Amino acid sequence: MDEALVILTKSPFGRIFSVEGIRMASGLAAMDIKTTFLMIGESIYTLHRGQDGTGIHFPTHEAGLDILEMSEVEIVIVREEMERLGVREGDLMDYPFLKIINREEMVRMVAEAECSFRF
Amino acid sequence: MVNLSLARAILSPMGSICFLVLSAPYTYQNMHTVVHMANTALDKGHEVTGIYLFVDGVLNANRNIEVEGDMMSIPDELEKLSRRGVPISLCSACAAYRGLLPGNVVDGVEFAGMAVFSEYFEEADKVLVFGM
Repeated sequence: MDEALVILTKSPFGRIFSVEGIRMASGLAAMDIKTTFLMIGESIYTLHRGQDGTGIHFPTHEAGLDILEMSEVEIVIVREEMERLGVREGDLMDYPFLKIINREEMVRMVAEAECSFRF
Repeated sequence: MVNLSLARAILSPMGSICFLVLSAPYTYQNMHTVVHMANTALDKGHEVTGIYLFVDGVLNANRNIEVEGDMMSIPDELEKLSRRGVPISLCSACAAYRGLLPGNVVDGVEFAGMAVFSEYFEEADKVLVFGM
């Protein structure tokens, strides 16, 4: 296997899924495995700018996203999901390898993936 | 560009499988399924490139697990798979977060990072994920 699709589906806080999904994606990418990180549903909030975990004593995800950026991992989000959740592009952190696709393209991406991991 | 996975599949009549386990023992039947599938794959001449225990999956390697009756002893089965030559590793960070120390882990299971999982992944024709 030489390509991986990591799919994040859960909101960024209250569970460990975002942390572990980012770790999985960065670990694979660091070993030169072509890795794409797809965020669907409420996981899109993982990219929301201005996060502060102080009140809930839980770290935010900037450090993990920095590692993904260093490995040039493409993060993919779905336009219809953004609209449904009221998230605008300007609400998201600056990430140079961010790609916004439509639902149809997302379905094709998942169907054609050689291997996928869902968090 | 040569597709290494495809080339390997063409050159070898047998397949190679990698397992990723994210769930805790006995909450789901995932680890039971992995044990059966890995043994069956080996019996049929396939290669298991590795079993990687991640997130709550690391708890499957706890040597202090005790079961009753006919329930499968997962640590015993992991040790047997290791003796059959299957590389088995667990995520060091996940283990630390769960208080799982090297002395508490069954023989044959190594503490390792994502780089080791990436090796299992690259060598496999198929990757089977048993999630949370």
